[in-house]
Amino acid sequence: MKEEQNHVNPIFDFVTRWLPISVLAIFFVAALFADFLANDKPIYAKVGDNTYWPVWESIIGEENDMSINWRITDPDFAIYPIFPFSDHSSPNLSIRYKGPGTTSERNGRRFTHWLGTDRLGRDVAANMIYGCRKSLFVGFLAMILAAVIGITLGIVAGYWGDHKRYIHPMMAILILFLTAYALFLLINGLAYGLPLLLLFLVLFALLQFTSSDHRGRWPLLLDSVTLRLIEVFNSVPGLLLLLVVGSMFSRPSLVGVAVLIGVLRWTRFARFCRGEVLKAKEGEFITAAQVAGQSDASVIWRYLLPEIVGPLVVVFVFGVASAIILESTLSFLGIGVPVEQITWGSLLGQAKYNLNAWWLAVFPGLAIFLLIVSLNYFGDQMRGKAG
Amino acid sequence: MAFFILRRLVWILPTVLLVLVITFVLTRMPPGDPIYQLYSSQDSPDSDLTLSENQYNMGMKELGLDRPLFYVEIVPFHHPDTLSKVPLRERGLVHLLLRDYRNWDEIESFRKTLKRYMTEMRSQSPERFSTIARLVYGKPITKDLDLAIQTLVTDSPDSPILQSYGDLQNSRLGLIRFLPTIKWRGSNNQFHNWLSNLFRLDFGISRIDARPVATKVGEALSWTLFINIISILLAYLISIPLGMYMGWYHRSRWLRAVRIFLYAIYAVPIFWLATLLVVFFTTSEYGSWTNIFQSVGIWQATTGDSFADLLAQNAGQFVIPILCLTLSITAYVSRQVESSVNEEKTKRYILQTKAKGLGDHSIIWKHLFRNSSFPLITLISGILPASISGSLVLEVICNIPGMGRLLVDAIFGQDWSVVILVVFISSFLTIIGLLLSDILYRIADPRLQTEV
Repeated sequence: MKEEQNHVNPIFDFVTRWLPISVLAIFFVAALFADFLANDKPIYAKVGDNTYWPVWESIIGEENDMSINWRITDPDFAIYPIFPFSDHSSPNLSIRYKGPGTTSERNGRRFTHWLGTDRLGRDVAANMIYGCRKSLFVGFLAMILAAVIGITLGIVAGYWGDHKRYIHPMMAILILFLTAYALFLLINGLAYGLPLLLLFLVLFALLQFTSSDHRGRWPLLLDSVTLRLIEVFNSVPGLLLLLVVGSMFSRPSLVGVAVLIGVLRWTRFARFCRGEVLKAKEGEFITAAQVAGQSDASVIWRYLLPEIVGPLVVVFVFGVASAIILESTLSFLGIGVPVEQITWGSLLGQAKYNLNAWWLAVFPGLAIFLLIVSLNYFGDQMRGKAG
Repeated sequence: MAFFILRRLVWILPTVLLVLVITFVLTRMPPGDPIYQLYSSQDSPDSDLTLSENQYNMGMKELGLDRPLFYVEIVPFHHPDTLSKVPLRERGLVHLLLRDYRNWDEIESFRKTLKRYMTEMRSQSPERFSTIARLVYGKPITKDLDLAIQTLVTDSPDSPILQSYGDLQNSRLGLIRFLPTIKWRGSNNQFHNWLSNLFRLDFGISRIDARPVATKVGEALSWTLFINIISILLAYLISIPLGMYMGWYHRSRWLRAVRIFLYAIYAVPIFWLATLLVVFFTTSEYGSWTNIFQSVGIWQATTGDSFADLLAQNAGQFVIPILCLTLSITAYVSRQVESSVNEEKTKRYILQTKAKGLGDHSIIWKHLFRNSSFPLITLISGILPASISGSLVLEVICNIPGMGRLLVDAIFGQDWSVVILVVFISSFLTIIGLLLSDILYRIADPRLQTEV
């Protein structure tokens, strides 16, 4: 085994080790500095004796009081971004479906559309840069939400299981009533502070008034309930529900799509987390901490969580990849995502209308593919390290 | 075994119930006013009162929307029993007033006065009417209502509406709103109605072409099932030998290339693959050899054609979707088979077969295959939802009149009864698939049958 590894081609080794990481880095840089990479305002401009940094000024919201409209002003000297168009540049119908390398004129200057234009004459390259930001935003937001839901449920199910915590029947009934009442208030919109307070009270009661003493008490079936929930969520085809609920939004938004994806995709975290906790719980350091009199909360937070965080990051990375695919599928079909938001998916979707516009089929898809493949590869590498 | 199947069937009941409830909630969610959608094919705003009160109420009755929502309802003490009879377009206003003032009699009289006043104004000054109607009807908040009333005050200071609004404000009721009451609504409710329609297989009529929804979805379902079954079968036929050999001959150069290819395919979004094939390989735009597949877009059909006729006429249309779906399932399944083989081949019984001097093929197919094929059965449960989702997108791209095409058309045409049925059927199929794979798994692996 060891000797054979010496024969690995150094170029192959370099490619497999560094390429995915560098692709990811490039995508992150593009997402972070999108405003400086693609913008119809110059980065630096000189008009008369005044100098401006228009991109920077618009980011920090300190646009000059004269507020020069950079789309029509022709500065004496200017440094433009690499892609001198932005994602909200107004449509220009005279340059619809122009292939890569075509130029268009704006205030006496010629600018090149490196990756062509779409069906409303908007620059593809600039929109892909901003699309990168949107994709990563949706992917990360969705998975953060999914992780919060899934990890909480998974730890609760794995750590306590079905027969660890018991509750007095009277207390259980009281808690049920309080929860029902809080929901009643919430649904009828009667008071917003009160239900929140009640739900906190319920949570407090669940933590405080349950014990491991089982005499005359009911078991809290935490594990069974979580497993059942996971099963229910897994038996609904996610894309379909996403399409339908997304289409019923009265005001579609990327945040809404991300939240929906998060709510639908937490099951992986929960199942994985539960398994890892069950494994880690056997470790002697956990028993030692429990015997030493640490509370459950501190055992979980200080000993259990650090133990399982490595494998969870792997799940997170794969989750981001699948959330990005879901979001681009939605915008490819044009459902649930606002029309004015151009994403990789919606650029790719335009290829359907004009089969000659090959650049619309190739570049956005390639971007999605590269991002997914490097996320997957990165996840695989981390899984190898995490054991 | 029978006991296991029975228990599994009982366990599935809560899931089915929950899917039913989710679907029902979805039917109440669509934007827009369902009564306008019933009467006209265009979408008109909820706030223009084009339908008279009588017409509107008849529409509500026809759709069953004038009934309570569920068998039991827990409502605040001050909500009246007749709340479900209030026209849907005024429901938002009434809920706002109920929250703010709680006195039902005054609210009802205010609503009626306002309605009479607005109807009058609609014929006299349409512009003013539309500004106020937009504030009041639809989903108003307290600020909207105040603004509307203020506009009325400045325009006509002595209108009866102000008197009524003043009464309403003076008769505000206090703390009773926090008191919940449990109301038993009986079986004459929307959920019951919907459920019994479901069991009678009555799904309503499509808004787009007035055909029965069940027929439309049934036709579409046959195409989706066709694509899925063919692709899953093909993918299993390819990926089982591929995965077995990839796992067994781990270091073969050829198989390594195949592995990298499959890894790449695994990350290719299925809609990108299909779009690329459609753009580059259905025309001779990019070279004389690139016109490989039949161009998408034209679905040939005359009424009365049977499934086989349609299939024969449009066979070329299915090549791209089946190819894409098969590739993407193959990429997933063969990786799973490979890892399962990697795990099995280090076990002692394989060493034993080698020691006996058996050849590679006999080891792979007689000993390794049986033991590493169990995951293949459970894989179905993961593949089925993914495959259905995948075929939905492929149908849209390749213009096949399956469930995906139908769903997207229905969403854009706001044909919600079709949308709901598609959701329901595909969830149902997924649940059945999961159940079958669970039972098959038990049958295939005798080791599991002892522990129930």
